[in-house]
Amino acid sequence: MSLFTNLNMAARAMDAQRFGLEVTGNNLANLNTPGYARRRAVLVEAPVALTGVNIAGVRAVRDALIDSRLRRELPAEAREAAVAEQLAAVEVSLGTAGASLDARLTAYFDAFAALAADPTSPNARQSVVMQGQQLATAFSDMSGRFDTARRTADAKIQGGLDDINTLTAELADINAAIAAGQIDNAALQDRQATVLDSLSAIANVNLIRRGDGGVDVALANGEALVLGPESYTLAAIPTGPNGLSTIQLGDADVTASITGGRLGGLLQVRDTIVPGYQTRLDELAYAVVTEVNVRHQAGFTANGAPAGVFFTPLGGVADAAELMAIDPALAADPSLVAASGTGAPGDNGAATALANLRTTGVLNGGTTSMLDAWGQLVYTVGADSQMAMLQQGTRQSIVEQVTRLRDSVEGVSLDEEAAMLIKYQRAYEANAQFFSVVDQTLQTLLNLVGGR
Amino acid sequence: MQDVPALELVSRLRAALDSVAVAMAAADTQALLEAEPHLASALAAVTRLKTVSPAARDALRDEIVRTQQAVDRCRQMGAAAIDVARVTLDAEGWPSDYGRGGHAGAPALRGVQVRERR
Repeated sequence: MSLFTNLNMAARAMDAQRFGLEVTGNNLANLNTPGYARRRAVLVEAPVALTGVNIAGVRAVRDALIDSRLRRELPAEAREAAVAEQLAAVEVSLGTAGASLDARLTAYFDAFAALAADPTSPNARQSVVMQGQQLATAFSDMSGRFDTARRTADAKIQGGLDDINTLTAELADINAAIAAGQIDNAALQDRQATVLDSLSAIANVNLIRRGDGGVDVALANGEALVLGPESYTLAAIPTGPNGLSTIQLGDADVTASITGGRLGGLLQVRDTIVPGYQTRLDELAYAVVTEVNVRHQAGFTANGAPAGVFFTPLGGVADAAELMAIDPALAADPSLVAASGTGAPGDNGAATALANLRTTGVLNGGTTSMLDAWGQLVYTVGADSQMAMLQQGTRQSIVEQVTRLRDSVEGVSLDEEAAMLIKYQRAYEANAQFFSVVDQTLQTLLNLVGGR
Repeated sequence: MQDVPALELVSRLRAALDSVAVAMAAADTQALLEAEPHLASALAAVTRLKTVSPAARDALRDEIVRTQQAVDRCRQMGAAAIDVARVTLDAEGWPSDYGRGGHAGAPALRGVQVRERR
């Protein structure tokens, strides 16, 4: 082996050694970098025998199976979190028991009970009108709160789409950089992993790995969001009379493809859960209007004339809560309120029948009273909210567990890396203690051998 | 008979030093630790040499020079490694020493919550 070969080997070995330590230093420096997977220097024997070591590169320690598992769990956790968050707000908007719609219903029927006790009292009639107006307003307000909940979810959906578009554009850029053979491929993979985690938390997406390490992204029904270096933008297009958005990819409506992640949760709240509550509220409002009107029209006004409707008649259940209002003529003239069931002054048949409506089963096939129906709606919202929180907690535990599992494989161990460095130092020093003795011995030997 | 062993013993010493260099180049701590007894043994054998045959002097001289080069190489690599390790450990707030029980000492400071393997 020539002196040149020796020096060359030493130089390569020095490079390799420095490189290995740089990798360890890099791991330590990136302890807190999101998505960073620890690196290992890959050193290989030089192609010509006994000529030292070459640097093959750096390998990021990743586990595709754990990554994939985590990205299956993230959409479910984020979805439940979004549902829980929105329903908690809906639950609050229902108000507390005894101070919400139930209080207005009670006050309304109390007013009829007071009229039954004093059927000729103008004040009692005035009170019935006032309570009727407040009840209608309460139904309308409650319907408005459900609308607000849906619009809030809709606004968050639009924000979520902006996030998706930003992330898919970044993924496309990463794909382009990987395809272009950018040197720090491991750093690109780290960034790709972080972006994919974020994307999975927003929507359920399918990932298709490219041969070069890039990734294509599609929605559940195959609509492409990222194809190599190209990304496709999702847009929220307000449609329909309520102004809520559909999610468009080009000309296609892809709303139905998004069922998971934060967006999936928000869509479920906006399009399924809250509308379900609204329907039940509308059914209750419709029952109040029709049942009160039937009994009211069977009675007689203060002047002994057959009474008209109390509430403005509704065309159907749809939007009943929002449209509920007392008859304008009755609002203007409280003497039109029915108290008598016979037409005779002082009779209270109609007022009594209306007061008794509070406990009469008029919903669900005549088995549920109005107050019970409201109580059941409140209970349902609370139960749904609790269930969403419970499920989110469970999902969160799974995500944390899988994340810990991933960190145990990909994360940097501060102890391990530092111990490796210290051990390396000490191992070298153990050998270095002989170097001066070797020097002296060789010098003595050289003196013994003498010059040429 | 002593001339041949002299060349062999110096060669063994150089081989031991080369093992140290290879272990350092590969950042192979275990190999580095395992190289130490071989180096000690080879050195001890060389220090027991008494005489050198004149016929083997040229070959032995060349081997001694190569062995000296091997020591220099180890020194240079070691100096670089120690500097990198020390600077890295200092930067991360770790004492560059073992604690009780031979384990790495606890970090002197940690500025923020770290994402570390469990």
